Amino acid sequence: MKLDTLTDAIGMIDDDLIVNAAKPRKIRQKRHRLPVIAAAAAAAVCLTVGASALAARNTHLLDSFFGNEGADQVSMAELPAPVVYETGDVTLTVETEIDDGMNRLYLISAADRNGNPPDFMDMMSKTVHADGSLTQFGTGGFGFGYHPADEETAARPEYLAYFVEYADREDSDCYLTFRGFPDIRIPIQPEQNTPVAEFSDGSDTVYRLSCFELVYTGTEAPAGFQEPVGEPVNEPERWLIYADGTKKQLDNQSAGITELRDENGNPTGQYRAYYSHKEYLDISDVTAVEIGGTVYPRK
Amino acid sequence: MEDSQIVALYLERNEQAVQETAAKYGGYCMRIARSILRSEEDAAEIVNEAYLSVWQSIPPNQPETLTAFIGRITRTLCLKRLRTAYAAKRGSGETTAALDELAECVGSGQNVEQEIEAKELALRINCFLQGIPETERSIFVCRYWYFNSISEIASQFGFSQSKVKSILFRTRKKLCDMLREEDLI
Repeated sequence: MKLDTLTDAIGMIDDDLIVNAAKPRKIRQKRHRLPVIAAAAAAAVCLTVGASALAARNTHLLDSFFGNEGADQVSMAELPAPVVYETGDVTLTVETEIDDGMNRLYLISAADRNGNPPDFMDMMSKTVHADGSLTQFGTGGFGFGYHPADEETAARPEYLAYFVEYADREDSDCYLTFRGFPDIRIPIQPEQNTPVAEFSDGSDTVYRLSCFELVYTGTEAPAGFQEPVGEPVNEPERWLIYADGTKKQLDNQSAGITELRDENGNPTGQYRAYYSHKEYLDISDVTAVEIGGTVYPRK
Repeated sequence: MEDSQIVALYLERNEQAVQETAAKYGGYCMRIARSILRSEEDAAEIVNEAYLSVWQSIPPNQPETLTAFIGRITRTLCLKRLRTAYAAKRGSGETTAALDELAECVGSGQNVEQEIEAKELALRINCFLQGIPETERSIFVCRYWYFNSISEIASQFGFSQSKVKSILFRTRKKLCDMLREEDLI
């Protein structure tokens, strides 16, 4: 297809689409914010919001994040209350946190002094370790912006999600912070020992499955990945097999691979690859995973 | 004056039709032309061409929505001008940036899709756009139909520029997926 063909085709879309897009819009000036912080302060202020209506709120957040009803599977009583961090420039809210046994997910929203979301793309996070060392994008984890796009969710601030991987974390006294906002320090909560399903066919290949992602570890880069790091180019089909014999194909939101290294930075010969789910999964009845045609039973 | 009255003037071959069109849609056409050509002089020239083209098109056409009809003619003339001007050397600017973004969705150009008529493709794109949320749809149309800049769209919708970029990225990805699923790229 030629680019001209596509631009010409777009030129021929229905009249109502053309007319509607050109209509003046009523811009929402007031965005949803937690009504707890009044005055701006030079130093960051941290408050914990009361727990009233928390369960419903968190359900809604997780629904919007995962785009499914998966939030129903989370025990709301275990989710912490939102915590608001305020500087003179930005209000940043840790809306909720979830532990999946391998990672801790932070759902974070932010608003500037006018109530508008700051440019998240410029707000790179770091994990600050107890010894003062820094790690970009969490400890071996990653972050990304999430922008609810439909009419309903667009009324709320944008969300950042941060997955902090426990596997690579050696100290327990670290926190997230953001470029330009050094006073904001979000403590990374300790691991909660949430169960994770492990699958293996007896070889050194192990797959670990949580509600957020499927993680591979083994001595070879799994099929589809270009060694030694990067994103998959041709992913194998991945299926969950349930106790009743039904199967569900996994579709990842993102994926990546790292070559594990020891404390001196030398390769260990082990690879770790992740496929983060597009939806929040209940893994309790999964008895096996099938990856590229090979079945790995649950250990 | 109502669109139907203006169209009636065209059908009567009454030259007042052009004056009424210019009075009602001159600003709209200029906005489209400015967005694409980024030149006041070129935009004014194209808009005059658009009036002439509408005069030559009605009859036989009898558009129900004059806004879309004249807007579409203006856009087509602008792109034609742009393609001629950039045939030898691609330039920079907002329209080129938008076209570069769209190029992600068209593949290498070596496929059988070269044979697919834009009209047929437009039907698929219509279905695609009807199936996504209104905000995404309008932002897509603003960017790739009207060729508005990211900052203009951000201002129009009250979003940050990063949010607009993100919505466009996601929408393009969905469009690419749809085109792939339909074996169009």
